[in-house]
Amino acid sequence: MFYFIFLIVSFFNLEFSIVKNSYEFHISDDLGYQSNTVIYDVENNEFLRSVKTNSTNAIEVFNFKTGQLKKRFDFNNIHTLSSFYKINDNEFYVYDAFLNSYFKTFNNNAKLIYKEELKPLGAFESYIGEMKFNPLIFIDNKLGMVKSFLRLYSPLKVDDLHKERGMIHFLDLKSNTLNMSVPLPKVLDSIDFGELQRFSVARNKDLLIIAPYYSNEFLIVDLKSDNFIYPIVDKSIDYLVTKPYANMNHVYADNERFFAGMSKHYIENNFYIGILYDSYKNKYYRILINQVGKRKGFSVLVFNSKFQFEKKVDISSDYTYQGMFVSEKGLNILNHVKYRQDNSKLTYDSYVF
Amino acid sequence: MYFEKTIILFFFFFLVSCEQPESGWKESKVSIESLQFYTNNIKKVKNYERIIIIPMIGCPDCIENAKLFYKNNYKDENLLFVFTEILDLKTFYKDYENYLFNPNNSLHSNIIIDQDNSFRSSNINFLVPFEIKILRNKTFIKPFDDIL
Repeated sequence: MFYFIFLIVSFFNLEFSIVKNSYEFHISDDLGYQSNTVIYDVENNEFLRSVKTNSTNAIEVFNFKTGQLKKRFDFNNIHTLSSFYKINDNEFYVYDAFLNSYFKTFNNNAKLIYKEELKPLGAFESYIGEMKFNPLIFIDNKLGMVKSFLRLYSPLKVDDLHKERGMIHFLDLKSNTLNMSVPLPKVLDSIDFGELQRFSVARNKDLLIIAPYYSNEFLIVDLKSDNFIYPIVDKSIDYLVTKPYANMNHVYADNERFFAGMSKHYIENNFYIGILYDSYKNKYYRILINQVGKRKGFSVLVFNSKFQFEKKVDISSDYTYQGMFVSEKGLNILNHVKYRQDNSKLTYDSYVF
Repeated sequence: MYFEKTIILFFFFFLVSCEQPESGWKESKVSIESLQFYTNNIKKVKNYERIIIIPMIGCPDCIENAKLFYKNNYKDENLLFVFTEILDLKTFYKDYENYLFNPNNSLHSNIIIDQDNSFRSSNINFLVPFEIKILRNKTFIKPFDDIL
Protein backbone atom coordinates (compact mmCIF):
# COMPACT_ATOMS: atom_id res chain seq x y z
CA MET A 1 0.00 0.00 0.00
CA PHE A 2 2.74 2.45 1.05
CA TYR A 3 4.72 1.52 -2.01
CA PHE A 4 1.67 2.28 -4.12
CA ILE A 5 1.28 5.72 -2.52
CA PHE A 6 4.97 6.37 -2.98
CA LEU A 7 4.63 5.51 -6.66
CA ILE A 8 1.74 7.91 -7.09
CA VAL A 9 3.61 10.70 -5.27
CA SER A 10 6.74 10.09 -7.36
CA PHE A 11 4.75 9.96 -10.55
CA PHE A 12 3.17 13.36 -10.00
CA ASN A 13 6.32 14.77 -8.40
CA LEU A 14 4.31 16.65 -5.82
CA GLU A 15 6.64 19.47 -4.97
CA PHE A 16 3.84 21.45 -3.42
CA SER A 17 0.11 21.55 -2.91
CA ILE A 18 -2.33 24.41 -2.57
CA VAL A 19 -5.07 24.71 0.02
CA LYS A 20 -7.63 27.15 -1.34
CA ASN A 21 -9.42 29.84 0.68
CA SER A 22 -7.45 29.25 3.87
CA TYR A 23 -8.08 32.70 5.25
CA GLU A 24 -10.27 35.71 4.53
CA PHE A 25 -9.87 39.16 6.05
CA HIS A 26 -12.59 41.77 5.63
CA ILE A 27 -10.75 45.02 5.06
CA SER A 28 -11.86 48.66 5.44
CA ASP A 29 -13.80 50.32 2.60
CA ASP A 30 -11.06 52.86 1.93
CA LEU A 31 -8.08 50.47 2.00
CA GLY A 32 -6.79 48.11 -0.67
CA TYR A 33 -4.83 44.89 -0.79
CA GLN A 34 -1.37 46.43 -0.56
CA SER A 35 0.17 46.22 2.87
CA ASN A 36 3.65 47.00 4.14
CA THR A 37 4.08 44.77 7.19
CA VAL A 38 1.78 41.88 8.07
CA ILE A 39 1.94 40.01 11.36
CA TYR A 40 0.22 36.81 12.41
CA ASP A 41 -0.02 37.12 16.20
CA VAL A 42 -0.59 33.49 17.20
CA GLU A 43 -0.90 34.19 20.92
CA ASN A 44 -3.70 36.68 20.54
CA ASN A 45 -5.31 35.03 17.52
CA GLU A 46 -4.91 38.21 15.48
CA PHE A 47 -3.77 39.23 12.04
CA LEU A 48 -2.36 42.75 11.74
CA ARG A 49 -1.26 44.79 8.76
CA SER A 50 0.09 48.29 8.14
CA VAL A 51 -1.17 50.25 5.16
CA LYS A 52 -0.14 53.55 3.65
CA THR A 53 -2.46 55.37 1.26
CA ASN A 54 -2.52 58.96 0.01
CA SER A 55 -4.88 59.93 2.79
CA THR A 56 -3.86 57.82 5.77
CA ASN A 57 -1.39 55.56 7.54
CA ALA A 58 -3.23 52.80 9.33
CA ILE A 59 -2.87 49.56 11.22
CA GLU A 60 -5.76 47.13 10.87
CA VAL A 61 -6.27 44.37 13.44
CA PHE A 62 -8.34 41.34 12.45
CA ASN A 63 -9.66 38.35 14.34
CA PHE A 64 -7.53 35.64 12.73
CA LYS A 65 -10.23 32.98 12.85
CA THR A 66 -13.28 34.94 11.75
CA GLY A 67 -11.42 37.41 9.52
CA GLN A 68 -13.49 40.29 10.91
CA LEU A 69 -11.88 43.68 11.48
CA LYS A 70 -11.56 44.22 15.24
CA LYS A 71 -9.79 47.55 15.42
CA ARG A 72 -8.19 50.15 13.27
CA PHE A 73 -5.67 52.85 14.17
CA ASP A 74 -4.97 55.91 11.97
CA PHE A 75 -1.94 58.13 12.52
CA ASN A 76 -2.10 61.63 11.04
CA ASN A 77 1.47 62.71 11.73
CA ILE A 78 3.13 59.66 10.19
CA HIS A 79 4.25 59.97 6.56
CA THR A 80 5.00 56.38 5.57
CA LEU A 81 4.10 53.68 8.05
CA SER A 82 6.17 50.65 7.17
CA SER A 83 7.13 48.35 10.06
CA PHE A 84 5.57 48.11 13.47
CA TYR A 85 5.85 46.17 16.69
CA LYS A 86 2.82 45.53 18.88
CA ILE A 87 3.38 46.46 22.54
CA ASN A 88 -0.20 45.78 23.68
CA ASP A 89 -3.73 46.15 22.32
CA ASN A 90 -3.48 49.95 22.10
CA GLU A 91 0.23 50.66 21.72
CA PHE A 92 2.77 50.10 18.97
CA TYR A 93 6.31 51.02 18.09
CA VAL A 94 6.27 52.23 14.52
CA TYR A 95 8.97 52.97 11.95
CA ASP A 96 8.36 55.69 9.37
CA ALA A 97 10.40 54.86 6.26
CA PHE A 98 10.10 58.35 4.76
CA LEU A 99 10.91 60.37 7.86
CA ASN A 100 13.48 57.78 8.94
CA SER A 101 11.90 58.04 12.38
CA TYR A 102 10.64 55.87 15.21
CA PHE A 103 7.30 56.57 16.91
CA LYS A 104 5.44 55.19 19.89
CA THR A 105 1.68 55.15 19.40
CA PHE A 106 -1.24 55.09 21.77
CA ASN A 107 -4.64 54.63 20.15
CA ASN A 108 -4.56 57.08 17.20
CA ASN A 109 -1.78 59.28 18.57
CA ALA A 110 1.79 58.79 17.42
CA LYS A 111 4.60 60.39 19.38
CA LEU A 112 8.03 60.79 17.79
CA ILE A 113 10.71 59.11 19.87
CA TYR A 114 13.73 59.31 17.57
CA LYS A 115 14.65 60.68 14.15
CA GLU A 116 17.75 59.29 12.48
CA GLU A 117 20.17 61.84 11.05
CA LEU A 118 23.17 60.53 9.20
CA LYS A 119 24.79 63.71 7.97
CA PRO A 120 28.39 62.49 7.71
CA LEU A 121 27.34 60.10 4.99
CA GLY A 122 27.05 62.91 2.47
CA ALA A 123 24.17 64.44 0.64
CA PHE A 124 23.45 61.70 -1.84
CA GLU A 125 24.12 58.52 0.01
CA SER A 126 21.63 57.17 2.42
CA TYR A 127 20.51 54.33 4.59
CA ILE A 128 17.00 53.25 3.72
CA GLY A 129 14.67 51.05 5.76
CA GLU A 130 12.78 48.78 3.38
CA MET A 131 9.02 48.94 3.68
CA LYS A 132 8.17 45.30 3.08
CA PHE A 133 9.66 42.09 4.47
CA ASN A 134 11.59 44.14 6.99
CA PRO A 135 10.10 43.73 10.49
CA LEU A 136 10.80 46.18 13.27
CA ILE A 137 12.80 44.20 15.83
CA PHE A 138 12.30 44.56 19.55
CA ILE A 139 14.89 43.00 21.82
CA ASP A 140 16.26 43.91 25.28
CA ASN A 141 14.49 47.28 25.28
CA LYS A 142 15.99 48.17 21.91
CA LEU A 143 14.33 48.69 18.53
CA GLY A 144 16.25 47.41 15.55
CA MET A 145 15.89 48.09 11.83
CA VAL A 146 17.96 46.63 9.04
CA LYS A 147 18.96 49.36 6.60
CA SER A 148 19.96 49.24 2.98
CA PHE A 149 22.77 51.46 1.79
CA LEU A 150 22.00 53.24 -1.50
CA ARG A 151 24.15 55.55 -3.58
CA LEU A 152 21.45 57.61 -5.26
CA TYR A 153 23.87 59.90 -7.02
CA SER A 154 27.59 59.71 -7.30
CA PRO A 155 29.02 63.19 -6.91
CA LEU A 156 31.83 62.02 -4.68
CA LYS A 157 33.87 58.97 -4.19
CA VAL A 158 32.26 56.76 -1.57
CA ASP A 159 34.34 57.06 1.55
CA ASP A 160 34.91 54.28 4.01
CA LEU A 161 32.36 55.59 6.48
CA HIS A 162 29.69 53.15 5.48
CA LYS A 163 32.04 50.25 6.04
CA GLU A 164 32.59 51.34 9.62
CA ARG A 165 28.94 51.99 10.32
CA GLY A 166 26.67 49.04 10.03
CA MET A 167 23.47 47.82 8.57
CA ILE A 168 21.47 47.08 11.72
CA HIS A 169 20.46 50.26 13.48
CA PHE A 170 19.54 49.78 17.13
CA LEU A 171 17.68 52.44 19.03
CA ASP A 172 18.21 52.05 22.78
CA LEU A 173 14.86 53.06 24.25
CA LYS A 174 16.33 53.79 27.69
CA SER A 175 19.10 56.16 26.66
CA ASN A 176 17.48 57.23 23.35
CA THR A 177 20.72 56.66 21.49
CA LEU A 178 21.34 54.94 18.19
CA ASN A 179 24.01 52.33 17.61
CA MET A 180 24.88 50.41 14.49
CA SER A 181 26.24 46.96 14.13
CA VAL A 182 27.14 44.36 11.50
CA PRO A 183 29.07 45.69 8.51
CA LEU A 184 27.60 45.62 5.03
CA PRO A 185 28.54 42.58 2.94
CA LYS A 186 32.09 42.77 1.64
CA VAL A 187 30.96 42.58 -1.97
CA LEU A 188 29.54 46.09 -1.63
CA ASP A 189 33.02 47.50 -1.08
CA SER A 190 33.49 47.26 -4.82
CA ILE A 191 30.16 46.47 -6.49
CA ASP A 192 27.22 48.82 -6.58
CA PHE A 193 23.91 47.05 -7.28
CA GLY A 194 22.09 50.36 -7.71
CA GLU A 195 18.55 50.46 -6.40
CA LEU A 196 18.65 46.73 -5.84
CA GLN A 197 21.27 47.04 -3.16
CA ARG A 198 18.65 46.26 -0.58
CA PHE A 199 17.92 43.64 2.06
CA SER A 200 14.94 41.81 3.43
CA VAL A 201 14.78 40.30 6.88
CA ALA A 202 13.26 37.40 8.81
CA ARG A 203 13.60 36.55 12.47
CA ASN A 204 14.07 33.13 13.99
CA LYS A 205 14.11 33.58 17.78
CA ASP A 206 17.40 35.38 18.53
CA LEU A 207 18.67 35.00 15.00
CA LEU A 208 18.14 37.61 12.37
CA ILE A 209 18.33 36.34 8.81
CA ILE A 210 19.23 39.06 6.36
CA ALA A 211 18.79 38.35 2.66
CA PRO A 212 20.16 40.58 -0.11
CA TYR A 213 17.98 41.43 -3.09
CA TYR A 214 20.82 40.72 -5.51
CA SER A 215 21.90 37.19 -4.52
CA ASN A 216 20.76 34.00 -2.82
CA GLU A 217 23.20 34.52 0.06
CA PHE A 218 22.16 34.82 3.70
CA LEU A 219 23.65 36.78 6.52
CA ILE A 220 22.85 35.28 9.92
CA VAL A 221 23.13 37.59 12.91
CA ASP A 222 22.90 36.49 16.53
CA LEU A 223 20.98 39.37 18.12
CA LYS A 224 22.32 38.58 21.59
CA SER A 225 25.98 38.76 20.66
CA ASP A 226 26.01 40.63 17.31
CA ASN A 227 28.13 37.80 15.88
CA PHE A 228 27.38 37.03 12.29
CA ILE A 229 28.13 34.43 9.63
CA TYR A 230 27.57 33.94 5.93
CA PRO A 231 26.57 30.31 5.40
CA ILE A 232 27.81 28.71 2.18
CA VAL A 233 25.17 28.83 -0.52
CA ASP A 234 24.70 26.87 -3.71
CA LYS A 235 25.95 29.20 -6.40
CA SER A 236 24.53 27.09 -9.21
CA ILE A 237 20.92 28.05 -8.50
CA ASP A 238 19.78 31.64 -8.90
CA TYR A 239 22.89 32.96 -7.20
CA LEU A 240 23.62 36.43 -8.57
CA VAL A 241 20.20 37.30 -9.96
CA THR A 242 20.98 41.01 -10.29
CA LYS A 243 23.74 42.29 -12.53
CA PRO A 244 26.16 44.79 -10.96
CA TYR A 245 25.23 48.36 -11.83
CA ALA A 246 28.44 50.26 -11.16
CA ASN A 247 31.80 50.15 -9.47
CA MET A 248 31.56 51.46 -5.91
CA ASN A 249 34.99 53.06 -6.19
CA HIS A 250 34.30 55.02 -9.36
CA VAL A 251 33.09 58.57 -9.47
CA TYR A 252 30.38 59.16 -12.07
CA ALA A 253 30.35 62.80 -13.02
CA ASP A 254 26.94 62.83 -14.68
CA ASN A 255 24.62 62.44 -11.70
CA GLU A 256 21.43 62.68 -13.68
CA ARG A 257 22.53 59.88 -15.98
CA PHE A 258 23.71 57.81 -13.03
CA PHE A 259 20.30 58.13 -11.36
CA ALA A 260 18.34 57.47 -14.58
CA GLY A 261 20.50 54.42 -15.21
CA MET A 262 19.62 53.09 -11.76
CA SER A 263 15.90 53.11 -12.56
CA LYS A 264 16.53 51.29 -15.82
CA HIS A 265 18.73 48.77 -14.04
CA TYR A 266 15.98 48.25 -11.46
CA ILE A 267 13.42 47.17 -14.04
CA GLU A 268 15.79 45.12 -16.14
CA ASN A 269 16.94 42.71 -13.44
CA ASN A 270 15.52 39.96 -11.30
CA PHE A 271 15.74 40.30 -7.54
CA TYR A 272 14.82 38.65 -4.24
CA ILE A 273 12.21 40.94 -2.72
CA GLY A 274 11.64 39.08 0.51
CA ILE A 275 12.38 36.35 2.98
CA LEU A 276 10.05 34.60 5.43
CA TYR A 277 10.76 32.06 8.13
CA ASP A 278 8.44 29.09 8.63
CA SER A 279 8.75 28.18 12.32
CA TYR A 280 6.40 25.21 11.89
CA LYS A 281 8.62 23.45 9.37
CA ASN A 282 11.91 25.19 10.14
CA LYS A 283 12.32 26.36 6.57
CA TYR A 284 13.06 29.66 4.86
CA TYR A 285 11.23 31.02 1.83
CA ARG A 286 12.78 33.53 -0.50
CA ILE A 287 10.62 35.40 -2.96
CA LEU A 288 12.23 35.95 -6.33
CA ILE A 289 10.80 38.58 -8.70
CA ASN A 290 11.35 37.54 -12.31
CA GLN A 291 11.41 40.58 -14.54
CA VAL A 292 13.68 39.19 -17.23
CA GLY A 293 13.60 35.79 -18.84
CA LYS A 294 10.77 33.80 -20.33
CA ARG A 295 8.63 33.57 -17.24
CA LYS A 296 7.59 36.83 -15.63
CA GLY A 297 6.08 36.97 -12.15
CA PHE A 298 7.44 35.58 -8.94
CA SER A 299 8.80 32.32 -7.56
CA VAL A 300 9.38 30.94 -4.08
CA LEU A 301 12.70 29.28 -3.30
CA VAL A 302 12.60 26.94 -0.32
CA PHE A 303 15.65 26.45 1.92
CA ASN A 304 16.00 24.07 4.85
CA SER A 305 17.11 25.01 8.37
CA LYS A 306 20.75 24.82 7.27
CA PHE A 307 20.10 27.26 4.43
CA GLN A 308 20.44 24.55 1.82
CA PHE A 309 18.35 24.93 -1.29
CA GLU A 310 15.44 22.48 -1.55
CA LYS A 311 13.15 23.58 -4.35
CA LYS A 312 11.94 26.41 -6.50
CA VAL A 313 8.26 26.88 -7.23
CA ASP A 314 6.89 29.33 -9.78
CA ILE A 315 3.75 30.97 -8.46
CA SER A 316 0.75 31.44 -10.75
CA SER A 317 -0.03 34.97 -11.93
CA ASP A 318 -3.33 34.70 -10.00
CA TYR A 319 -1.34 35.64 -6.90
CA THR A 320 0.55 38.63 -5.57
CA TYR A 321 3.50 38.62 -3.18
CA GLN A 322 1.91 41.48 -1.22
CA GLY A 323 1.07 40.64 2.37
CA MET A 324 2.42 37.06 2.41
CA PHE A 325 2.65 35.37 5.78
CA VAL A 326 3.33 31.97 7.33
CA SER A 327 0.90 30.01 9.49
CA GLU A 328 0.44 26.39 10.53
CA LYS A 329 -1.21 25.78 7.13
CA GLY A 330 1.86 26.86 5.13
CA LEU A 331 2.92 29.91 3.16
CA ASN A 332 -0.17 32.04 2.66
CA ILE A 333 -0.32 33.96 -0.58
CA LEU A 334 -2.92 36.54 -1.51
CA ASN A 335 -5.19 35.52 -4.37
CA HIS A 336 -5.31 38.60 -6.56
CA VAL A 337 -8.02 37.30 -8.89
CA LYS A 338 -10.40 36.86 -5.98
CA TYR A 339 -9.56 40.34 -4.72
CA ARG A 340 -10.43 41.83 -8.09
CA GLN A 341 -13.77 40.00 -7.98
CA ASP A 342 -14.52 41.26 -4.47
CA ASN A 343 -12.27 44.01 -3.15
CA SER A 344 -13.87 44.10 0.29
CA LYS A 345 -11.76 41.17 1.47
CA LEU A 346 -8.35 39.55 1.18
CA THR A 347 -8.42 35.86 0.35
CA TYR A 348 -5.34 33.76 1.03
CA ASP A 349 -4.50 30.34 -0.36
CA SER A 350 -1.87 28.25 1.44
CA TYR A 351 1.08 26.83 -0.44
CA VAL A 352 2.38 23.70 1.28
CA PHE A 353 5.96 22.88 0.30
CA MET B 1 10.29 75.94 -64.27
CA TYR B 2 13.12 76.61 -61.84
CA PHE B 3 10.74 78.58 -59.65
CA GLU B 4 8.15 75.74 -59.65
CA LYS B 5 10.78 73.20 -58.65
CA THR B 6 11.88 75.42 -55.78
CA ILE B 7 8.30 75.74 -54.60
CA ILE B 8 7.79 71.95 -54.76
CA LEU B 9 11.02 71.34 -52.88
CA PHE B 10 10.07 73.92 -50.30
CA PHE B 11 6.70 72.22 -49.69
CA PHE B 12 8.41 68.83 -49.53
CA PHE B 13 10.80 70.01 -46.81
CA PHE B 14 7.97 71.78 -45.06
CA LEU B 15 5.92 68.59 -44.97
CA VAL B 16 8.87 66.51 -43.75
CA SER B 17 9.72 69.01 -41.03
CA CYS B 18 6.08 69.06 -39.94
CA GLU B 19 6.22 65.33 -39.31
CA GLN B 20 9.17 65.44 -36.93
CA PRO B 21 8.63 66.17 -33.26
CA GLU B 22 10.57 68.94 -31.55
CA SER B 23 13.81 68.17 -29.77
CA GLY B 24 13.63 66.03 -26.63
CA TRP B 25 11.43 63.40 -28.29
CA LYS B 26 12.81 59.97 -29.06
CA GLU B 27 11.31 57.52 -31.49
CA SER B 28 10.14 54.47 -29.56
CA LYS B 29 9.77 50.84 -30.52
CA VAL B 30 6.17 50.82 -29.37
CA SER B 31 3.76 49.88 -32.11
CA ILE B 32 0.53 51.78 -32.30
CA GLU B 33 -1.37 48.51 -32.49
CA SER B 34 -0.11 47.57 -29.05
CA LEU B 35 -1.52 50.71 -27.51
CA GLN B 36 -5.04 49.65 -26.68
CA PHE B 37 -5.82 52.97 -25.09
CA TYR B 38 -4.98 54.63 -28.39
CA THR B 39 -6.74 52.32 -30.82
CA ASN B 40 -9.87 52.28 -28.67
CA ASN B 41 -10.02 56.05 -28.55
CA ILE B 42 -8.39 57.05 -31.82
CA LYS B 43 -10.63 59.97 -32.68
CA LYS B 44 -10.46 61.31 -29.22
CA VAL B 45 -6.70 61.02 -28.76
CA LYS B 46 -5.83 62.99 -31.90
CA ASN B 47 -7.48 66.15 -30.62
CA TYR B 48 -5.13 66.68 -27.69
CA GLU B 49 -1.98 68.77 -27.56
CA ARG B 50 -0.30 66.55 -25.04
CA ILE B 51 -0.78 62.91 -24.01
CA ILE B 52 0.61 62.35 -20.54
CA ILE B 53 1.06 58.79 -19.33
CA ILE B 54 1.13 58.25 -15.58
CA PRO B 55 2.15 54.77 -14.43
CA MET B 56 0.94 54.15 -10.90
CA ILE B 57 3.86 51.91 -10.01
CA GLY B 58 7.52 52.42 -9.28
CA CYS B 59 9.15 54.96 -7.08
CA PRO B 60 6.37 56.92 -5.29
CA ASP B 61 8.31 60.18 -5.28
CA CYS B 62 9.03 59.88 -9.01
CA ILE B 63 5.34 60.04 -9.89
CA GLU B 64 4.46 62.65 -7.28
CA ASN B 65 5.03 65.60 -9.67
CA ALA B 66 2.82 64.08 -12.34
CA LYS B 67 0.06 63.31 -9.86
CA LEU B 68 0.15 66.87 -8.56
CA PHE B 69 0.21 68.21 -12.12
CA TYR B 70 -2.83 66.08 -12.90
CA LYS B 71 -4.77 67.31 -9.89
CA ASN B 72 -4.03 70.94 -10.83
CA ASN B 73 -4.70 70.57 -14.55
CA TYR B 74 -7.28 67.86 -15.12
CA LYS B 75 -9.79 70.48 -16.29
CA ASP B 76 -7.49 71.64 -19.11
CA GLU B 77 -9.07 70.15 -22.21
CA ASN B 78 -5.87 70.37 -24.23
CA LEU B 79 -4.32 67.67 -22.08
CA LEU B 80 -5.08 63.97 -22.18
CA PHE B 81 -4.13 61.93 -19.13
CA VAL B 82 -3.69 58.18 -19.32
CA PHE B 83 -3.38 56.28 -16.06
CA THR B 84 -1.78 52.89 -16.44
CA GLU B 85 -0.34 50.12 -14.24
CA ILE B 86 -2.98 50.75 -11.59
CA LEU B 87 -2.30 48.10 -9.02
CA ASP B 88 -5.53 48.54 -7.14
CA LEU B 89 -8.57 50.21 -8.74
CA LYS B 90 -10.28 50.38 -5.34
CA THR B 91 -7.67 52.68 -3.81
CA PHE B 92 -7.12 54.51 -7.10
CA TYR B 93 -10.77 55.60 -7.26
CA LYS B 94 -10.69 56.47 -3.58
CA ASP B 95 -7.58 58.65 -3.93
CA TYR B 96 -8.80 60.44 -7.04
CA GLU B 97 -12.55 60.55 -6.44
CA ASN B 98 -12.61 64.36 -6.44
CA TYR B 99 -10.60 64.63 -9.65
CA LEU B 100 -12.04 61.99 -11.97
CA PHE B 101 -15.75 62.52 -12.36
CA ASN B 102 -18.13 65.17 -13.69
CA PRO B 103 -21.10 66.27 -11.59
CA ASN B 104 -23.17 63.76 -13.58
CA ASN B 105 -20.79 61.04 -12.33
CA SER B 106 -19.18 60.22 -15.66
CA LEU B 107 -15.42 60.17 -16.13
CA HIS B 108 -13.92 63.45 -17.38
CA SER B 109 -13.52 63.23 -21.15
CA ASN B 110 -9.74 63.88 -21.09
CA ILE B 111 -8.95 60.90 -18.84
CA ILE B 112 -8.32 57.34 -19.91
CA ILE B 113 -7.89 54.56 -17.39
CA ASP B 114 -5.77 51.95 -19.13
CA GLN B 115 -7.14 48.91 -17.36
CA ASP B 116 -5.57 46.55 -19.90
CA ASN B 117 -2.10 47.91 -19.10
CA SER B 118 -1.40 48.21 -22.80
CA PHE B 119 2.05 49.65 -22.16
CA ARG B 120 3.19 46.55 -20.31
CA SER B 121 3.05 44.42 -23.45
CA SER B 122 4.50 47.17 -25.60
CA ASN B 123 8.03 46.78 -24.26
CA ILE B 124 8.30 50.27 -22.84
CA ASN B 125 10.21 49.82 -19.64
CA PHE B 126 9.31 52.74 -17.50
CA LEU B 127 8.85 53.67 -13.91
CA VAL B 128 8.35 57.37 -14.42
CA PRO B 129 5.63 59.43 -16.12
CA PHE B 130 6.21 60.28 -19.77
CA GLU B 131 4.55 61.84 -22.78
CA ILE B 132 3.77 60.12 -26.01
CA LYS B 133 3.25 61.52 -29.50
CA ILE B 134 2.13 59.73 -32.63
CA LEU B 135 3.26 60.94 -36.04
CA ARG B 136 2.99 59.08 -39.34
CA ASN B 137 2.33 55.76 -37.59
CA LYS B 138 5.41 56.12 -35.44
CA THR B 139 5.46 56.69 -31.72
CA PHE B 140 7.73 59.15 -29.96
CA ILE B 141 8.23 59.47 -26.24
CA LYS B 142 9.91 61.82 -23.78
CA PRO B 143 10.00 62.02 -19.98
CA PHE B 144 7.13 64.02 -18.52
CA ASP B 145 7.85 67.65 -17.89
CA ASP B 146 5.46 69.52 -15.59
CA ILE B 147 5.82 72.81 -17.48
CA LEU B 148 2.66 73.83 -19.29
